[in-house]
Amino acid sequence: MASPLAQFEIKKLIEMEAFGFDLSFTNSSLAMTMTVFSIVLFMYIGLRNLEIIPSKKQSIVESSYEFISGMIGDNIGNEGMNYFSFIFTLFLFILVGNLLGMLPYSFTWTSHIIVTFAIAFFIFIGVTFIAIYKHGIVKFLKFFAPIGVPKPMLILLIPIEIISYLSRPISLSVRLFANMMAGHTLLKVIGGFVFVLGANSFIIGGILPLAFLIALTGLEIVIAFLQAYVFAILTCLYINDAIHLH
Amino acid sequence: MKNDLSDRLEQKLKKIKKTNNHYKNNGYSIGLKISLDLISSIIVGVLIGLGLDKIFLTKPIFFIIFLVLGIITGFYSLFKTMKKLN
Repeated sequence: MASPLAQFEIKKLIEMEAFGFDLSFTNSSLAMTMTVFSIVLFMYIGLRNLEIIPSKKQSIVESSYEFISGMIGDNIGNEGMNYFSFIFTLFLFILVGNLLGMLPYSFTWTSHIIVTFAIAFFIFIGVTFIAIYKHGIVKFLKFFAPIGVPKPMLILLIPIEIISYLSRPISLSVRLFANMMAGHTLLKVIGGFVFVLGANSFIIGGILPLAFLIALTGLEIVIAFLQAYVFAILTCLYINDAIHLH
Repeated sequence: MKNDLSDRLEQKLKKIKKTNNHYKNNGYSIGLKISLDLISSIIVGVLIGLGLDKIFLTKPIFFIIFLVLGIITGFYSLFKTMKKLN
């Protein structure tokens, strides 16, 4: 039987190399491409026949729009609508990636730390750039010195603030990656229990783990939604920090 | 009659606020946030310390300083989170 971690293996589908870098098209790339295609398909089907009174398909797309615009309105305010397309894309990309990973024989690209870290790192760079662009470098550096603190304490507090600012991309990426990887490993382990216990006790022993597996699958779908939501909302909070430096 | 209605409205609003707070601050997400804050700031501190040591060839000094700073940062952000919750 395959190990529970075998599902995370990267396989090269089309080998490519350029300038000494390995640019092969892997199953992870395939999963990402599938994600983008399913989002485009979802939008195309939903927005094919636009009507004033939306049909069922159109209202799904419209409610996803309202969900994100409401999130931005709550967390950033009206200036945040400039970043709507970015956060909407990010949310849908991660959400559909998580949900496609729940299909049997598919690959969950969000369960790889390097992918989520790359996303989080570029968000971090972008947010820093926005803050410097909007307020200038001096005001941005003042962000690391809390107001109303006695001067001797600043020697200790400034490194602390800088470290906690730098730890943002790590905590953002690890949150998504750890949730997805732990959940999928757990599903595979319990799936192994169903097979082994069922085969050794004339199917009766497999019933309990199977019930547990069904409940866990439901939980895993909830986590797929929740983690995409958390990722988008934290990006909103970081952009909010960049726009309104305190 | 009017007072009765506004009382009822207020009670309903209170209930909604309570459930909203519960949704935002459920235990799972708080636990995850705290543990990740602790770990990630220590990781960043260690990485900065090792990097500075490599540049200045002062093997354990910056590593120890920034490890301690990372630990302090982790607990500081934990403290901030708990302050926000209350």
